[in-house]
Amino acid sequence: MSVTSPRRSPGSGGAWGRLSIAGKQIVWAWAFLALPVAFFAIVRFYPTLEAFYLSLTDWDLLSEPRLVGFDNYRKLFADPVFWQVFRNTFAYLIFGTPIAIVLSFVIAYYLDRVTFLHGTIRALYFLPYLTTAAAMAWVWRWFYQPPPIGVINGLLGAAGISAQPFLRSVDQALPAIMLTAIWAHLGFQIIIFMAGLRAIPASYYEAARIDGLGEGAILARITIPLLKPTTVFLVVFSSIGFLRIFDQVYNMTSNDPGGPLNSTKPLVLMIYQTAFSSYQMGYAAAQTVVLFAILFSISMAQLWILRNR
Amino acid sequence: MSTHSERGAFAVYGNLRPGRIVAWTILFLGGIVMVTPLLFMFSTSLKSAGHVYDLRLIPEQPTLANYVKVLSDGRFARWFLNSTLIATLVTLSCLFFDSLVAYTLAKFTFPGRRLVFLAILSTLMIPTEMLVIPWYLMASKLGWIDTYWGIMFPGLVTAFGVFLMRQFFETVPNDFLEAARIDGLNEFAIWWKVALPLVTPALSALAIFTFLGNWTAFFWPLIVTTDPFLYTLPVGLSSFAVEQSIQWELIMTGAALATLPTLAIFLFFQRYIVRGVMLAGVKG
Amino acid sequence: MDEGQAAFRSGLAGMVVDGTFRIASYKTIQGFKWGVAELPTQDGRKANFGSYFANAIGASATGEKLAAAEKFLAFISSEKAMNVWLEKVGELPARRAVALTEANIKDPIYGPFIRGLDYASTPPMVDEAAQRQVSIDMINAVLLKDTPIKEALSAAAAREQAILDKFKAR
Repeated sequence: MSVTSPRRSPGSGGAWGRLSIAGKQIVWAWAFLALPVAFFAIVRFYPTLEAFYLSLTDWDLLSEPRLVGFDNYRKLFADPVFWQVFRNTFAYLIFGTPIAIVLSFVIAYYLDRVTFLHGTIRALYFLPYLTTAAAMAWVWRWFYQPPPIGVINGLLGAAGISAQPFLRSVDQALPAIMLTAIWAHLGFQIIIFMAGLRAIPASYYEAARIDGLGEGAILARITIPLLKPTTVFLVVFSSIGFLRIFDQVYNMTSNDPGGPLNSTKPLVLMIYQTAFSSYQMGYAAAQTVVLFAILFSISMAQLWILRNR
Repeated sequence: MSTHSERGAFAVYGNLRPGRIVAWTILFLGGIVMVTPLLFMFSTSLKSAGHVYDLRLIPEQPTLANYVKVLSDGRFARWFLNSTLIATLVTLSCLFFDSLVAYTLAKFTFPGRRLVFLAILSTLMIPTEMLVIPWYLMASKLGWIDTYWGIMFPGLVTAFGVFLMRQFFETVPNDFLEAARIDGLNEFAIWWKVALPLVTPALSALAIFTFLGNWTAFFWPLIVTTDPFLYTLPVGLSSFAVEQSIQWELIMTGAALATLPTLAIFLFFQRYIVRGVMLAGVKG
Repeated sequence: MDEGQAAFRSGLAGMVVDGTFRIASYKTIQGFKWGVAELPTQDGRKANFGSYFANAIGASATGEKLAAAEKFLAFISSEKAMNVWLEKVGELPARRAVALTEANIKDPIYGPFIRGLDYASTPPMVDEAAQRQVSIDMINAVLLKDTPIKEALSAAAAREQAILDKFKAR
């Protein structure tokens, strides 16, 4: 990529002048990289190590940290609330990601073919993505209110369906919040899918049509396989997003965080409460390590399963 | 890569079949459903307290009183200022450092290049949630709690940005750079004057993502600020909403104020934003 | 947070159990007149819950900042400030002289609260968020999971005791 054969610039003196061109490259490169690399070391790598270390301590910020080995982890895995939280976090993932991906693909597929008012309709789907999750969480929370305040219950009432408890029900709360999260990110996924669709040369479609393939067959044999990199990217990206969900849950259950009865609490909320409500830094750090392990293994598993064979 | 008009021309083939009209209608209605929360948010913000419980979309007696009330104590203006300042500064930092690092990794040969790249890439696997506790402890020790710096420092250089920009710098022809070297420019000037202008689409994509991400960030600003004066808009809105508790017309007004800026920007820059997202998605 | 108070505010709930901090918000109610009564008794036994917040000066404050903090603390604990707070927010002043005026005791809204203070107790708050959660979960267990009341109450008591014990152990 760059010049590698060393040449000496004639006639220049001093240490700088004596460096070969390759040598100068190295100096410049490290000059450019010095600050950012230091930044990554201080802001990303060192804190990671510190988080692992803290997970082995018991520390409430007032006294000195006490090394307790794997006690935090033992305590965590013995806590039924943790397992509820674990189930919740995976529920967000297992239901949220497929729904989001399928929905956004279907919309992108049809939207791509629309010519009339294409820009306007695309804007309608994309707008929610640009909003602040915290603000929209409150709007949706208001939507889910019981009658006479809530819009959704108002509509259900007009249709003759009885009012639903939504956020006040242990069964409906998590899906309700998940819907808000899906809604917020749909626009981004639709745009990415559309970019992927546009990258497929029209000639493929022409050839397929000439060969007499129907729309369904074209979809299954050309479009979807060629969208694989896009799909993999979105699956991994969404999964990580759902596993880390926080903003919506925090704002939609502020009076009973993660409730009711811990039915909506994801791992990140548990971490936040343990660290910044109860000030148990070591225990919270252990929970973050568990989160890291979950994210890492799920991403790796997905990349493995969806790899190119 | 097919352009939209090509496919459009193809779509003309059997354009007005009933199936197409049905599909368009469903899509259009779906779009309306997507923005319904926003419509109701604005609508409620224009209703007085008594009318909140009447669920009509168009308020009977629209009033700006809620906006006056919410804006009058000055907190929203302050939060808006905080968010804008922080998002702008972090975006500028990312644009500068991410592209500098990316350029170096793409165009320079030096020992350790591969290692540095992999190391930076590997940080993408580390979730911020794991880092907030050490960051909090660091900020606490160094007096960065309740400061702009405290909110900003974790995001000044991003692996995502480095990765994105590197993809684009790799496509910059080396001849241009060589020519500049022969002309006597130093490496920094070459990057600044020759390479950067060639990747402006990527820069604008990065700027959009970074600004948006920082403007809407909630988790870390929530943790590192305790003084309401320093809240960013999302955190401020959240505390405002909890405080207002049952006065939904005011909460919706707050949410509307938090949303208006991004909506306005979107309406003006829609094409660039969408292009930016697509660019990032295709290269990513 | 909101359903009970919202229901009361919109005239859909007949009664709501709430605290003095809500008075300012309820005073904006326009649709109907409302009043305050003390909590019901059981077999003649009265019980109520009183909580308060305290303002403090950090132990590490020195010099100018310490002087300023002292001045501020004196201000917000002054009678004048307390009366403003009472009027604007509704929470009762800490100074007896300010709280237990004739006017306040006879006031239809503040009166019942002041009478309740006589037999109110304040439990130790070592981790407010966690202790609050215990109560919320207890009520939710009864309402949403049909847990028998006695069982929910004893479970909650055990949980809260565990929180208190853990704090004492430090």
